[in-house]
Amino acid sequence: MTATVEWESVKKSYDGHRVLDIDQVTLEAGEILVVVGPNGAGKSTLLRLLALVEATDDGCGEYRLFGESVNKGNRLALRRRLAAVWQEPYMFRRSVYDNIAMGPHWRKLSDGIIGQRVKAVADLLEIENLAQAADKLSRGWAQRVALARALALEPELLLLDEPLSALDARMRARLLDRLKPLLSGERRSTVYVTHSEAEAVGLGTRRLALTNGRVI
Amino acid sequence: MDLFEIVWLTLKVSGAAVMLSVLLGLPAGTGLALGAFRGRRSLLALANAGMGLPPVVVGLTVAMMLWRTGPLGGLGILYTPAAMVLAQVIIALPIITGLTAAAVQSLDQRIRLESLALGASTPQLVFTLWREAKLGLLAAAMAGFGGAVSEVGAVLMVGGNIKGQTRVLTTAIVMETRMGHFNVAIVLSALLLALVFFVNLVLTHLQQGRRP
Repeated sequence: MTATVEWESVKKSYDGHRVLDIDQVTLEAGEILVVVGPNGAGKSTLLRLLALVEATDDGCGEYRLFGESVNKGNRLALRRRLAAVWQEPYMFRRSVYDNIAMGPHWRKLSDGIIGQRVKAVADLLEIENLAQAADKLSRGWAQRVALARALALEPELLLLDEPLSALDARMRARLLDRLKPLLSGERRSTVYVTHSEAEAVGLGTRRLALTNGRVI
Repeated sequence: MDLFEIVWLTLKVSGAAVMLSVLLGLPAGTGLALGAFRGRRSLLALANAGMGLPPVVVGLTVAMMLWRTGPLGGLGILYTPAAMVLAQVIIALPIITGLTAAAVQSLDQRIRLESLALGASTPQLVFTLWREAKLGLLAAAMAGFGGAVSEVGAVLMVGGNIKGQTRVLTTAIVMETRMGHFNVAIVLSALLLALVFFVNLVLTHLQQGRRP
């Protein structure tokens, strides 16, 4: 089976300062890779590079995503097969429903399918008021909507950057239980970044520990 | 003097100038805000400096270009509403471009990140940025309209204040004042203020949405 991610020599610098320098990142189909490490270890940077939303440094190795070599011509198509949830998600100035529907809408799915998907993920994450303004939500609710937004895309690769960090312990455990079966499968792999050892234990099939931008 | 004709022409000329300036200034300002090309900073400085262009200088330049011997003389539009629109575009365009660049640049950086991760194409990303910057962009349009409709020097030079053809509220006010018809000038001024207020009322309504 084709690996979801194959990338050798991943490098990223900001203002001449190297923040990430990893020899190799691989993710097999159906695998959950848990990335752990302290603040400033490069975890979020790695996720942004994997999500194709940030440029790498010159001299990086070839990035193969879903078996295809990433290039200018296929970036958008490949990006549309993944979804990401950032630690501090941005809520667009529109309703919760419209926030969740944005990605599917951009993929030109029919209104009927979009409605079904929004309802399914809202039920899963216990989001009830879909009409309320998303930009007025608390951080915890924003994280839930961001998760719903990502899951509504039915991505083959899910990139999660501390997606439950703003929730209280009880809700975090509850949602994690619901999420676990969705993180891997025949057509899904996940990279899960977390600070929490409790979350990391029993979640991933493999673990990657980063410190100062390097694997330890 | 046909008052309705003057008000209608004022609206038509300034409305067309602002629409053209928005069509050109919105993409230009967005490009200046997001781009990473050589000369970006100089172009941004040019747009910002253009916000304070003296209208009489614009009028003189446009008139010289439109003279029969000028580079655009072949168009034959001097002393027509088209020339007035052109002059007002030159005044409104830097305002709309500069304020658009500021509005887009001040947006939360996460919007771009989030949109791309949700699978936005470049046009989808740009429309999302514009939607999120709606407040600033409508303020830019209002400032552009204010600059265009209140301007008198340039439209007088390229339009000529010809009765029934190129006479707008500002040029009519100047003419009536010069002739000592202060009462008429005051009425025209009140009409101009009412027009500016009405247009801004509509734009403010769009800008503020459902907020009381």
